[in-house]
Amino acid sequence: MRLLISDHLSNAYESLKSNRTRSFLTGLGISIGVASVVIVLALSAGVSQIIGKQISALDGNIAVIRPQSTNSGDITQQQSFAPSTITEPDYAAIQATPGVKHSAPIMIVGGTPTKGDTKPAGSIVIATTPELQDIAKLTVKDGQFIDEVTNQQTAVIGEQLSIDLFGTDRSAGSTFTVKGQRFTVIGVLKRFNDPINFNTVDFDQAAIIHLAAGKQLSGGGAPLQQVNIQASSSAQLSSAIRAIDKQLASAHQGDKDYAIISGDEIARPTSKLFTMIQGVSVAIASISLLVGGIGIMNIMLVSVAERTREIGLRKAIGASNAHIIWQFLIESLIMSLSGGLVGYAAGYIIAFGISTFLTFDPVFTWPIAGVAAALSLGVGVVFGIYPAFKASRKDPIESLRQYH
Amino acid sequence: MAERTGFEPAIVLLPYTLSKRAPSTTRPPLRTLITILYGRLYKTRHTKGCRNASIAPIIEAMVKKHTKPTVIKLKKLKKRYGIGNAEHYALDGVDLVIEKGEFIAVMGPSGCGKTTLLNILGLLDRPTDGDYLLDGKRVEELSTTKHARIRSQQIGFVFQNFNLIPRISVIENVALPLTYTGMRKIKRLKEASRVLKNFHLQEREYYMPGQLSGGQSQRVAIARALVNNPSIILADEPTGNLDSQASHIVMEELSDLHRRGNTIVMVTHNPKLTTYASRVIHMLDGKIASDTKIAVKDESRMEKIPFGLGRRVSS
Repeated sequence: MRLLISDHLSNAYESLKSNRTRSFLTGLGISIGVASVVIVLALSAGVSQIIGKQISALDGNIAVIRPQSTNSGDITQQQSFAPSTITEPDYAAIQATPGVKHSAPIMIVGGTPTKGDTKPAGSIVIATTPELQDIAKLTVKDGQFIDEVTNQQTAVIGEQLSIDLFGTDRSAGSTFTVKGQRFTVIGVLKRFNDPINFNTVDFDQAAIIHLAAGKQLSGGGAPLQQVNIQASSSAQLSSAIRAIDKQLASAHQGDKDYAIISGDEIARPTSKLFTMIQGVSVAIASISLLVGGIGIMNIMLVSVAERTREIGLRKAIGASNAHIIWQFLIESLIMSLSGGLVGYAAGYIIAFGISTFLTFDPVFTWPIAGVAAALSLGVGVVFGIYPAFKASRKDPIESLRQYH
Repeated sequence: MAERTGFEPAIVLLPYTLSKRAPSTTRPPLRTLITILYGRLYKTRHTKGCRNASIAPIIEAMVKKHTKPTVIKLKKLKKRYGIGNAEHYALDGVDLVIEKGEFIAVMGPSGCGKTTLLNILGLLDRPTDGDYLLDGKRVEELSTTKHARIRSQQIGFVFQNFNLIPRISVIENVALPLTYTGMRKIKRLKEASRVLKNFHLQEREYYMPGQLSGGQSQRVAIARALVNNPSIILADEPTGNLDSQASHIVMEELSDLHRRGNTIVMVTHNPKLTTYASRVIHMLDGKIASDTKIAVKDESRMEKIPFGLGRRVSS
């Protein structure tokens, strides 16, 4: 490479400057593409980070047992309407495992809390044990949490549900029905403000009832959405997990239809559905990047056609094909990289704007910056190489003869 | 360039012998002798490609002084276009020897192959058949990248329509060929500035090409062709787009370059311009119809005068 890179850069700078508007608009196309990808990635990283924070707030001795479909690809596995493979006897076994300090099942009871004609949308009824309060770090703002001695017909409800049902956040003593069964509110949870958490339950909209009551409502056999366990210490967590695994394996006759998740694994997006939504969003965002790339290719082709005589001249005075390729490739790279840089910045600005309406913030991570850089570099190369090759293949004699 | 080693006493006598014989009129035998001795040296040294450091420059200087080295040699050069019945030879066996310091005007009707000849000389095109030796080396079979390098180092082009790049200044246009030799920017601009000074264009250095008259543009283009100190300057109708006055100025510049010892091949339609040339070649149907050498008025003026300061020593 005999031509210095700085020459190529100043060369490209000159020619981009001579078509300022065109270069700006082309770069803008890339900016929009990179920005939309960055927005999706930054926000979804924000979601993951929230769960990660919750886990680290829980001292790291938490594990979650979830049903797992034996045939992978079942994205609805964590939805309440899918039959769960974890049953109450399993829960009993988990509870009895040495090293397990607290354990709390979460059973999603089909049914909506109802008061008169009010049936708040998005609300959910879960049945669990009093230990959930410790594991999920739930705080009761008014009244008390369900415990061993409270009546089966009592419930603790989230603040938002309280407001939706009774029009007040101080609803202790009020009653509501689920599937005709009457429950008395004995406590209201402090606003949790985390619709996304490792329990996959929005506690602000949940009514929490006793496991026994939930069993009754769902007709006896109680499939569990997940079981949370807390080991006595972090050190005992792994031995507890192994013991539980052994027990469940024998109880399920070797069917690996459950998963025991601990540590950072819990922080991962809680469902395949989430991953898929993220993937689809990124794919859609990438379409605008593709369009931007096509814009670059288009402009570079125009530029090559416009400068045919210049190419001929440069070849006549000693430019090799490689020189010509680099000249045009660097031009498209400058457009795509500067567009990418602007897009990265704009993406975060927009993501922070969006996050004011959401419960989580976008996150700055190196992988996202890397993705933005790689995308803009990739687009520049992929869509710049063809025009550059076309330029280098031009016959100098023909090119010099051309008038424009 | 072969690697140069230390002093070789065995061959010290050589320049002496040569200098005794040099003034004689037997130039071709002398050159043959030099070539043979050169070859011997080359072979006796055994070690890969090294030549005697002390005598090589002396021999080169002598060759320069007492002979007119051949810049270009064409042997039965052919260029065919089309196939089958459309087959047509733009060049049909051209034999041509161009010596250093010649100013050749190539004349002929349209389609006689003169532009094709120029393109092949400039390595922009490849001959279909025949040999092309540039500075003694066969070049027609080299790769396009090597051709590009030769163009950047040994050939200067002057075009009918100037072909200056409109968006960069005059000085940068002139410095452009040097970019492809890997020279740094400041040095390039210095070099370009020096060449422009010789064309009395230094106050136009930072003009844009669009601000120049046709004659000035062509002089800038000639400066650009000259900036890399080429072995040969190829001009394709350099005055084709100029009025008679500008033509005259441009031809004076070319003629001046010729007096300074540069080798120029110019294609033209205008018979008046042949008065500036030292040799006129008429072409017809891809063949050289006539080749007239015009008597050189003053031999001493053929000596190559270094153009500007600090020209690169030819390597």
